[in-house]
Amino acid sequence: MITFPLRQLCLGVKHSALALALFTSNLSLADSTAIINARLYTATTADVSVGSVLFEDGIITEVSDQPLTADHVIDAEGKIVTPGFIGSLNHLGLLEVNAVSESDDSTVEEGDLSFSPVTAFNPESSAIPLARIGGVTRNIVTPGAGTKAFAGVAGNVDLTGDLTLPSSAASAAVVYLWGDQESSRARRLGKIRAALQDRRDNVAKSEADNASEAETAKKATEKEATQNTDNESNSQAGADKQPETKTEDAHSVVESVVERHLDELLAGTLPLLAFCDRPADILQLLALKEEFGLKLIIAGGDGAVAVKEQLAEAQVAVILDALNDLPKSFDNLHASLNNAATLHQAGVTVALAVLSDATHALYQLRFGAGNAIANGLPKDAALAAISQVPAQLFGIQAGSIEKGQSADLVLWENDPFDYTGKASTMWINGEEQSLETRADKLRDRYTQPSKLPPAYVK
Amino acid sequence: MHKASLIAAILVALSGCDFAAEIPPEINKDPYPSTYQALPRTDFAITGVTLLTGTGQRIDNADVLVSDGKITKVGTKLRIKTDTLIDGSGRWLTPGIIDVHSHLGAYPSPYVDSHQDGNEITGPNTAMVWVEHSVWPQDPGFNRARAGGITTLQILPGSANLFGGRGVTLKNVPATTVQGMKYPGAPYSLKMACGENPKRVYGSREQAPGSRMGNMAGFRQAWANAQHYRADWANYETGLEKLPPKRDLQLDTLAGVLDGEIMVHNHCYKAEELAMMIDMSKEFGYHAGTFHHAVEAYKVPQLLADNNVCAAMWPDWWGFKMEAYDMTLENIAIVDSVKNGCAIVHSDSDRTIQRLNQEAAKVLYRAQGLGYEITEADAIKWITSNAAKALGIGQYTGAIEVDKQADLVLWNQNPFSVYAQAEQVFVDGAKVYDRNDPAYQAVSDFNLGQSLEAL
Repeated sequence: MITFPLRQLCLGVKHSALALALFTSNLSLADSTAIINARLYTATTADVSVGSVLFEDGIITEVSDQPLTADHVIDAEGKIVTPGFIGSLNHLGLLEVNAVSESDDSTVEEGDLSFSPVTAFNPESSAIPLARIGGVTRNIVTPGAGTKAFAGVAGNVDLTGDLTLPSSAASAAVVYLWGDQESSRARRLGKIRAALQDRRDNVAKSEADNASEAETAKKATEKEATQNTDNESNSQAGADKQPETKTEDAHSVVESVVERHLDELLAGTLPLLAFCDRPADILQLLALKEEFGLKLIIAGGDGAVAVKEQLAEAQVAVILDALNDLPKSFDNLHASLNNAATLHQAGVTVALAVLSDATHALYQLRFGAGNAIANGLPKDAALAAISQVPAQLFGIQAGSIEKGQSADLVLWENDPFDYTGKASTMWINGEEQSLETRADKLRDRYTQPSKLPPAYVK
Repeated sequence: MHKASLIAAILVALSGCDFAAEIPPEINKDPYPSTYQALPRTDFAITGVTLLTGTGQRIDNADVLVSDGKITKVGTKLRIKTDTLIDGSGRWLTPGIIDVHSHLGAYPSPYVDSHQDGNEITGPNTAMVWVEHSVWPQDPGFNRARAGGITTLQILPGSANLFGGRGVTLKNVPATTVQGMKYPGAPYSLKMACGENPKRVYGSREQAPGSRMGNMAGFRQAWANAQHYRADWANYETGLEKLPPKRDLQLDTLAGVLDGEIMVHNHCYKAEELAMMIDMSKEFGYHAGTFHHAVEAYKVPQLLADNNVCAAMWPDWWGFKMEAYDMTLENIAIVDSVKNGCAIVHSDSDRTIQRLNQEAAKVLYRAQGLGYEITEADAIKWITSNAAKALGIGQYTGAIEVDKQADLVLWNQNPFSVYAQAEQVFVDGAKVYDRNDPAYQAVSDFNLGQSLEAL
């Protein structure tokens, strides 16, 4: 069957319209669908109290306050439709059971920017359907803290559970700047700065070398070429050199990935996602951002409230857990249930994540948003904090109900932020998703009457 | 049990017996007694409130009168004369929330090495340790929990051991000493742990237990030893032996369970292990108590009810080890649905202890949607009266009934909403927290003088 490889190919290409068209045409999803009579929480500036959303080929094609026609029409009967929520800062699909270390691919001691755990993402993890019932349709899987300056790179996945290749594109370079029992955070920060500085210097030097090498080469055209043993350069000129030993080759592949990500960091195209809580450390990161022109995102950020003006000024977003309110260490003395609201009020862009038991509890993301609302965060900001903001931070074409976005939508019974709320239908890329979990199957097995032992109930 | 016979022994000694010097001092079963005193209080009434009694009832537009720290009247349209009237309109009133499983003070914030006092991980049987000796009353978590409506909590030792030691039940009032928080009249508890933790911790040290069957052997030998110890005391008390047995703090605790004075609280996840623990309690003649973290209770709800044991559960914590893999979100509702079922929602967390109402809400509305006949009035029992029963303090607290202690939470709305917040919290009729009045927001010594003087 030709569909499968095509699908893999398509999803390897990040959100290109062509890819989606190929993908959907193979699955005969060209039909359009309209959800009408819905209360649309769009996660844009304009909510629609009663309206319609139309999608086709996995993409939202129209949002209107009028009923729309389509091949399939779903009457929401006034219920709420939200964008699918977007998780981050967890190991979903990289970790099945924490205590079963062979089921954990999230973290390496000796991490660096070539470590991309998303390549170990397992769409069949039983934690994924559970996340879906919480309205989560996409996720930024994030490497755990190792001992090195960079932990690795984060990647983004959808939660269809389909056995397709996730995008291998990096969503962020990840660093942890916490108090460290073994060393000093100053050393860690110094290494991050050194890596950026070295790369910037090397690129400058390499550009200068290239210019001079080109000149030399021109002068040497009449002479016999001699073997260049300089293995320092990874410039284009270097690619023409003689093959080196196998070990050195492997080393240079890793190095070139690292260098590519450093270049992307320096170009501001790859965000630096920094787990950091203490206000003083956040200031250091803001200085680093300024020095190297980084796109910085603060994760955790219990102390962000103490430097909120600086964060707002620098337009640096904070991803926090709205329920962090304990001084778990001397880094967390500012932890408070009010922090999301306080930051928002100061003009800091806020995203929300689940940081405690982050992977298995991802389905609770919406409850964190609900608690943030209870503690003063406006409802629109809370919704955006689990949809539009993370999408924008990590460059995902989803997270809001707008024309051109991925048709990741959730139809809710009742209030999506409250315990009475329940996801009744979900679409990812316009495809309806199962909302049944392994937990449901277990419940049914042990509650359905059966003459035979529960093992026969399936 | 030993007191009268010891006095007899002392009398014998005084009468000139020559082994007088060897007679041990009297065993004091309450050597670190509670010094708790209610905070300053006045009589008051809350009027026109939506009341969940904790006994399965909901009374709309209810009035509750509190005098001398006790509930003295409950009803509607009462004629009330009292010091203070609190307008309960638009608000909900519940009993004070009780968490049967906490490590606050023993694993406090800040969670630094110097504060890791919650588990004596030096041997599989540490029944001799008492967690009250580890509790730091300045843990900011107590204040946070109070802001979430927690008025009573049981602090348990950790679960690395088969027998982790004694737990203690506390009133959630700020105090400088643990004795100042100890719940007067609450029985001691014994923490036991099944499953992965003991066998992993000790097995990895080439020490018993290294398997689940090793766990069971360790339990059984300890109970057999306790039976022997108890018989030795009985022989002494009946005069068969002239000298009492050598005092053994570990066996004191286990014998206290066999005597029915100390209640078992058993960390135990899996269905087959729950069944084993129930049979073992019968083998040695004690009550199996309450199962904590019973992730698989839904597989054996009838067994639990038939044996009159409670199950304390999380709504959704799972996946951190194999014994927590078979989670179902309706576990609590299933245990609750069986006749005589005793379902409890517990936290084992300094985070969720702040929101046990929301933890219960996760189950309540999902189960309702699936057709379970559960209301708010039922669900509140999971975090009040059922919890009080499991701690052996049901005669004092856990319900809003005449003569019960006035442990109360006034919520700004239905407590099972994500938006609900505790506005005022009372312990024995004394206000211990007021969301709108900083004068009633205690701050731990640890937070005082820091950049943020949070609760």
